[in-house]
Amino acid sequence: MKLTHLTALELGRAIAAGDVTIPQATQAALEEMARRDKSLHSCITILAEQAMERAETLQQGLKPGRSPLYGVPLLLKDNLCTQGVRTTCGSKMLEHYVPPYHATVVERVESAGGVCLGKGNLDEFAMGSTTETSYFGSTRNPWDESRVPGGSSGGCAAAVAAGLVWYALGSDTGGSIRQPAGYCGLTGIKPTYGTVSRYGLVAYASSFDQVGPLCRDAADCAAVLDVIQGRDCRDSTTVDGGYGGLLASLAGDLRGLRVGVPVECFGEGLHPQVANRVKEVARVLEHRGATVVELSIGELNWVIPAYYVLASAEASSNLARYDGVKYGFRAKEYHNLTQMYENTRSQGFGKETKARILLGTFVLSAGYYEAYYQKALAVKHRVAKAMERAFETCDVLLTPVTPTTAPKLGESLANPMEMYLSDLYTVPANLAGLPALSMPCGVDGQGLPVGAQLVGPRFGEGVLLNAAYAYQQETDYHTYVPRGGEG
Amino acid sequence: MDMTHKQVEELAHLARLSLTMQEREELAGQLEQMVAYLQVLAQVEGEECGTMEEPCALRYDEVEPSQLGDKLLSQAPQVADGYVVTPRSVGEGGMA
Repeated sequence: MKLTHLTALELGRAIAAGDVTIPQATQAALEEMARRDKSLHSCITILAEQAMERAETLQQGLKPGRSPLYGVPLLLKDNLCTQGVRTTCGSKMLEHYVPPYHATVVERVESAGGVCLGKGNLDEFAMGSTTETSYFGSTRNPWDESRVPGGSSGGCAAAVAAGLVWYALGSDTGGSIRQPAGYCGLTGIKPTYGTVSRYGLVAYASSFDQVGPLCRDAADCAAVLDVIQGRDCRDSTTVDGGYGGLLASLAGDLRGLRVGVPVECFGEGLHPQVANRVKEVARVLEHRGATVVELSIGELNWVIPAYYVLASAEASSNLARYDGVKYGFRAKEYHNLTQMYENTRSQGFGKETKARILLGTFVLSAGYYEAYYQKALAVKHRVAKAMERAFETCDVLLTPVTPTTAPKLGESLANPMEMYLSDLYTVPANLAGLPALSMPCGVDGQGLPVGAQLVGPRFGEGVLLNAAYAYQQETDYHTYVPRGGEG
Repeated sequence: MDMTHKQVEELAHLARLSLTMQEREELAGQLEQMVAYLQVLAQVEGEECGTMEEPCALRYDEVEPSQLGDKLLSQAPQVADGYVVTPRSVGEGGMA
């Protein structure tokens, strides 16, 4: 098997055993990037020299007992701050921004021996579902380059799927890890809110944002989550979930697991081929000892409007900091302070970001706050309660990740409303702060990956990963490689 | 609700964005569609949102040395004598 098709853990084991050196693995990935990334455009920045130097250093420090991911190259979404390496957020506003510090998750993967190969493309400030709103151009889906890889962590997803890196760290505010994982045939997990530090993650909607891994399988996700999770004194929303050792506890035993299937997630708008693939997941889990129960969560009908009100409101506040004063882009021409702000922000932000800032400003403005923002907060509360109730009768929820497989480039931006609605299955986990995992469950008639989502109760990452691990022992969809990545 | 150009213009001013004519047209349409869709929230009864957020664990407010000062300043678009430079904010600051 080709080196770049191994899982992260397989490569880690090969490195530890001395079968592959870290510079060899790094070189192989960089060669693959040179060959494919001109057309895929998954990376905004490639750190070839820096990565080779680090690979040499890590190779010298190789000894038994290191992290299972020691020496494994990865990609970081370009909204994670990297000391000395520009962090653009896919925006002209931060085109030349070089953070003076690392995000906590970057420190953690580096301490575990990670080799960062570059920074992954994303929708501007992580606002989008296609990676087409990036100032640096669109990323293409390695399964079919006329299609989007999803978003906003689309660069990371495309790179892992194409075999350019072994894993990536993305961020998920309304589905930005799970949806691209679904479109690209990967396993990705958004952890429980507060599990992973947001320090150094450029904020979009702070009460939803969470960092997580995009990998080739569930075991890799467990290994990465073991590395990045944990309390951080620099992010006061992090909590000690009291777990860890996720990789060690993967057993694949699903006896007694109750899988809930919400009827609201299999209704109108869901493509029949996607529905069939996801229902097949329920049968496989049953075969492994789980029981499947159908249930109804009526509150799911309100999640999209509530999510877009809250996320846009938080975005309009968070993005107020980009004013051309302390860092980032500043317009060249202005006559006074207000004009400097306005020209800087108008020239520095793209259209989708402006739309969300305006929507956020609208729902927070006098006269509309009660009608929109407060109602959305009430929905958030109700969804959290409804999910709590659901987890009294089941241990995990099974849903599709998206209503369809990856759309063509340009299709979604032509109809933003439809794009927002396609987040229906992923946003409930963000509203309720719950962990949710996306895994490949086959392909549609055109050979495009279909994703299934598992949602768990707070700190239920272990249950999700174990269920996905069992599913992946029974099936081989996670080993499918996109055309063009073979050879 | 109808989103008029004037309303979009007011929102843009609150958000410190100056929009071109074309942007105003496009964004007004997009916002109007979105806001119409948000009307479904009116059906949600009650405004209480409870206290679902967990209280944050606070850290002690202690002074710690930071080596970041100069590095942070080096990211500013315009600097003079260790200060960030902006147009005047008083007097000639415009309608801030």
